[in-house]
Amino acid sequence: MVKLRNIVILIILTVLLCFSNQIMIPTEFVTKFPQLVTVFVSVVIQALPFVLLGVFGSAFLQQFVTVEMVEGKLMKLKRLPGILMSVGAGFCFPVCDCGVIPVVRRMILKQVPPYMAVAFLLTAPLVNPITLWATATAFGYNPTVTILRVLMAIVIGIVVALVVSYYFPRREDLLLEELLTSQLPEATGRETAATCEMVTAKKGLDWSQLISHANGEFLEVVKYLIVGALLAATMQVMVPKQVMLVFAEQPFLSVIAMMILAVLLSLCAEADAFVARSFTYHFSLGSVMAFMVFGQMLDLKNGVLLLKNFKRKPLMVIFGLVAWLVLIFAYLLNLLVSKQLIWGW
Amino acid sequence: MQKTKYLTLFVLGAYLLWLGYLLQTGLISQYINPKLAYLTLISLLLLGIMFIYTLTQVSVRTKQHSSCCDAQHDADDTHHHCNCDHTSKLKIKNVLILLLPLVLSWLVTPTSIGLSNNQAARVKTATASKIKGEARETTQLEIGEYLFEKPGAKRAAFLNSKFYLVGKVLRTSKLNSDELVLYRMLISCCVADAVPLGVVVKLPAKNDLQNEEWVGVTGKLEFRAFPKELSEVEPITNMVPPEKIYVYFTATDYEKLAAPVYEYLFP
Repeated sequence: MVKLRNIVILIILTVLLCFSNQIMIPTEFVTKFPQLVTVFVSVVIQALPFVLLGVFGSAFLQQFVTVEMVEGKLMKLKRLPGILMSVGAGFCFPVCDCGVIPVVRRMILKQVPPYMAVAFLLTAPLVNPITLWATATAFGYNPTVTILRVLMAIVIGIVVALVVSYYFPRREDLLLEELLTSQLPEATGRETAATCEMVTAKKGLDWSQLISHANGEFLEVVKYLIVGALLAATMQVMVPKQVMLVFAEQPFLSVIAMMILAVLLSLCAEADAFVARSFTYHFSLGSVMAFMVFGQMLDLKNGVLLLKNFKRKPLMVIFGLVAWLVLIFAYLLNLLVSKQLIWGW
Repeated sequence: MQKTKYLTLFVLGAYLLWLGYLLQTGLISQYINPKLAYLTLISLLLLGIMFIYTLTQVSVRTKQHSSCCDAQHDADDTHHHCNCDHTSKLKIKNVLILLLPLVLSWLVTPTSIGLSNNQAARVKTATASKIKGEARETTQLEIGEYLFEKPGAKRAAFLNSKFYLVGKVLRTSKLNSDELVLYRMLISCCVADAVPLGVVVKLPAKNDLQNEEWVGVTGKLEFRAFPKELSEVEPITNMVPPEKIYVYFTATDYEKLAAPVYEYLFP
């Protein structure tokens, strides 16, 4: 059945079309629109293979690597080795920032110490191989940006995990009551990130399940990539350089601006480097780094999922601390490191 | 659920055709560095696998779905366990978002990324030089490599040669009337990261060249101390090495050209 809202949209579009010659569209917009489209399409084309590899990698591991395997290792370790092991586990799991939340929730429910789970939550989307390759490709295989991104993620992950180990040591401190009192969700965990989760692995490779998972996750992730790429292209082409430079030339404000933008765009880890790269000519290295690191730790998309699973107070402490650390690191980068490091020019 | 399958099939098919078309026609070089086209091939391969899988699912489900699911869907649409894939529900508005890049790239011809909005001068056809003669063809990228990576004797040898250089015109009030910037965009990955690389060219006489016009020049180049007045001219500042020198090209001849097939420089 055709919804009324769709009919209204159709009527509005028809009216707009009929009167299009009388509508005042800024000349600047008309002139620059082809450039905007070109930049937008190029970002999408370049990010697509990494998104696809990411979703297939995620689906593949879903079949072969169980969360229990990782949990078994983590639970035997002490505080710092445990945190380091959690960060190391992130290198093997091609999970995006929303896909990691059901995994972390499950880890905590299975008695993995919360600080280890938090270390995994913050670092896994940033240090996994697909993200690393995507970042390296986006920045012309210049290792500086990729290494800085990984280092920043690891340091922040470790510091925040240590803080959590002192202030929120028990799973009751972190997870919502209803999750603790209810049974573990079904292996698929579909009620949260329907297309972006890790489930209990089955024995042997089930191609049908693998491609089905990849299919669903791809359609979900590309949607956000497209919206993000469109916004980034609009900012790059339409916003006058002088306006951008008001922020870009301020080492502190530029970092805050890029952190807010990262939260609003909610880009996936496999795609955000390509969008971030388009900002490098206006913004400093520290600001771009803040965009790539903070955006993968907190954004609108995973914020909703986090609130569905974790208590507000620890979330505010964790992400408040993350925000401060990103701000400090990025600000220091702005002060100490030249933007030329990005391109080598 | 069948609707979702058909929509998924439609979206994946559209992406396959789109990327295949861009690769087949060479249009991909208008968006990304052609050296990275293999990444688009990877996309095609993976999308192809997903498309074939969805196609088989559509045909299988058409036969089996009613016996498996329909009754349960009617009774309880939330919790039941069968082998059907219920992981994603693709809505029309999502399909429209997913098809946005395809539709826009179909409607809007990819345009050259430049430093001004002068589209009139951007006529794209292959072109042959009439003034090149014995001069060795070089690019802003090659000059940049000599500037940044090959100091010393090699740089001196580079300076003594006669060169033919192609680029787009950028007029600026910071230069004399017989001078202009000849620049090209360097693309490392895709056009979103395009950087202008430019050389100051002194032409033999005053001229009527406009911004964004494609021009070929022959002459010799030299390195001069970088003046502060030019620090706002982006294509030039992008080619200033740490020792603060810039490239000054004295042309003995010049010609207007149509845009080359590959407008951008690719490292």
